[in-house]
Parts: sequence; structure tokens; C-alpha cells
Amino acid sequence: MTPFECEFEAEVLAAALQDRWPGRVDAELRAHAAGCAVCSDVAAIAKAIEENRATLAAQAAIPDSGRVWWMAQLRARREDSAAASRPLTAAHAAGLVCALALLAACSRIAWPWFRGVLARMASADAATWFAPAARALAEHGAVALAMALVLLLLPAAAYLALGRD
Amino acid sequence: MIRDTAIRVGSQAETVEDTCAEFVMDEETFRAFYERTARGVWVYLSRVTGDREMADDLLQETFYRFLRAKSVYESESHRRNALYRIATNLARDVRRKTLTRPAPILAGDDIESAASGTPGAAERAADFTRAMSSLEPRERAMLWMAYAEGSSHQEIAAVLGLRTASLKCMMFRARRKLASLLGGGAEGGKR
Repeated sequence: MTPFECEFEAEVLAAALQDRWPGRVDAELRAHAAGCAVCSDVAAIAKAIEENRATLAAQAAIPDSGRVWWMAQLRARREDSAAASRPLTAAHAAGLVCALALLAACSRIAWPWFRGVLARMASADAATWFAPAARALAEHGAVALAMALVLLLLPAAAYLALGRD
Repeated sequence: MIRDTAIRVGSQAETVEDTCAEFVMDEETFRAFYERTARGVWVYLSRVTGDREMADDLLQETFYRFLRAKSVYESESHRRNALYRIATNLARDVRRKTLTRPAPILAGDDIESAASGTPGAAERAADFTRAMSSLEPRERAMLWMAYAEGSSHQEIAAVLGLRTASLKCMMFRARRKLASLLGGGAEGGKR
């Protein structure tokens, strides 16, 4: 027994909960409790806690077990579904990042050519720049087409990847 | 039967047959366990948090987390302890989040309800509520588990995450504090 316990604690507790304390217990136990911090405190609080527990328990408005089960099932299913779609969302985001990187790389490659075209357009009249521009377009048409497609498809891809979340 | 029941949530109707979440127990076992424990857990939560509405919310959350836990329970008491541990942790988390707001002390309804009982019950209920609200939440929890739920020291220590030896000392102090707040106990009692 530690100084924080007493061998008579259970006896005092039972007497308090059964409304036998202090009138209907042995005088010896009463005399012990008078000098024992553990037992006197138990006698002082046990009945009050039990009364309060009974009052609160009578007031408790507990939801029906079937409803709690059903709500838990719904919530679990929702959470499972969200967890399952998380990798998919990550894949969509990764795809978007790759598309942006591709666009940046294409822009970098095509930029000198595009700047040259702009410079020629600025320095010559329509008749003289049309032929070289058409020739250049024929040579680098694939790059230009890819860039145009990326520019057009990027917003749609972003919407599909992130819009539904 | 709940299995045949279609419940409408917003504009979406779903039946339980549509759901297939994996829980720690089947519906029948859960319902029986819930009927045995829910009232006690609600009372515990309302006493520890000092707030009935909070207890309503936390009760459902407690049972949900219990169902979702991937634990294997050896016995009814092991299962019950796990439930109270979840409830205790939830109450602690809520307290941390609402630390800036003073906690309600669960007085009005207590007193009204007690007033309809035996003479002097209203005063006792008011005194008890005041005394309990002066204790630390952990002190409230340990005293409640010991004297309202009848839990052993080992069970309380497991629920509160304490060592049994430390718990005995803390329990002694909490009991002294509550007894003195209630105006009872042996002021100079020997240890």
C-alpha cells in the first residue's frame, strides 16, 4: 500500500454509494475514516459524483445506434473514396506540370526564330517578308502547331485535372 | 430494419447496402456495444468538457473513430477502455483548440434537473458543478472514471496515458481537492 491508498477505501466507497455512510457503518470504520485522508475524501466525494452521474445519465439524449452505424458507414465510404482519388489527383497535377515544362521548353527553342520573324516583319514591307515567313513556317510548322495545341489544350487539361475537386 | 431504410441526405438518397466500409465490428455487435456504453461515454464527455453540445458531437466522433480503428480487442473491458481513450483524446484536442475561450461549466440544466428531485438536490448539484469546474480536466476525468464508471487504477492509467504509480498520487491529490471544494474530507487526515 502506498501512502495514497487505503485498504478500507473499497469498504467506505461501497457504504457511501449504498447510502449507508456514515450512519449505518461500523463505528470502527467511521473512526478509521475520521483520521484517514483517503477514506474521508472518498466518503466526501463518492456520493456526490454518483448523484451527478445519475442526473446527467437521465438527461442524455443518445442518438439511435442504427443511425450512428449508418452515418459512420456513409462517412467511412466518403473518406475511403477521397483517399482512393488522391493518387489520381496527384497524377493529374504531375501531368499539368509536365505540360507546362514542355511549353516552356518549346518556347525557349522557338524564341530565336520567332524573334527573327518579328525583326524581318518590322524591317520590310509585306511583299518582301511574306515569302521568307511562309518558308520559315513550312520549315518549323510542326513546332508552331505543337505550341498552338499546348496553348489551346492547357486550360482544358487544367480544368479537367483540378476543376472537379 | 436499418438495412432496408433509405435515408435522404440533401438531394442524394443512399441505402446502407451501397456502403461497404471496413469496420472493427459488424453492425449487430456494434449496436449492442453502443447500447451498453454510449450513455456512459456521453456523461463522461459532458463532465470532462463541461459542455453538453460538445459531448453530443464528440460522442459520434468517438464511436466513428472506434469503428475505424484497426485494433483487435481481447475483451469487453479492453474494448471499453479503447473507447474511453478515444473520448479522452478528443476532449483534450477540443480543449486545446478552444483554449482561448472559457469553457462552459454545465450548470443550468444540472441544477434544474436536480431541483425536481430530493430537497437540497439543486444546491448540491450547483456546488458539485462548481467544484468540478475548478478541477483540471485530467483530474475530472480520473475521478469520474474511478467513481462514476468504477474503473480500476490500471484502466484509468491506460485511458489517460499515465503510469499506475503516478496515477495513484494524482488521484489522491484530485480527490483531496474535490473533497475540500465540496466542504468534506479530513482536513488534517493522515496519509
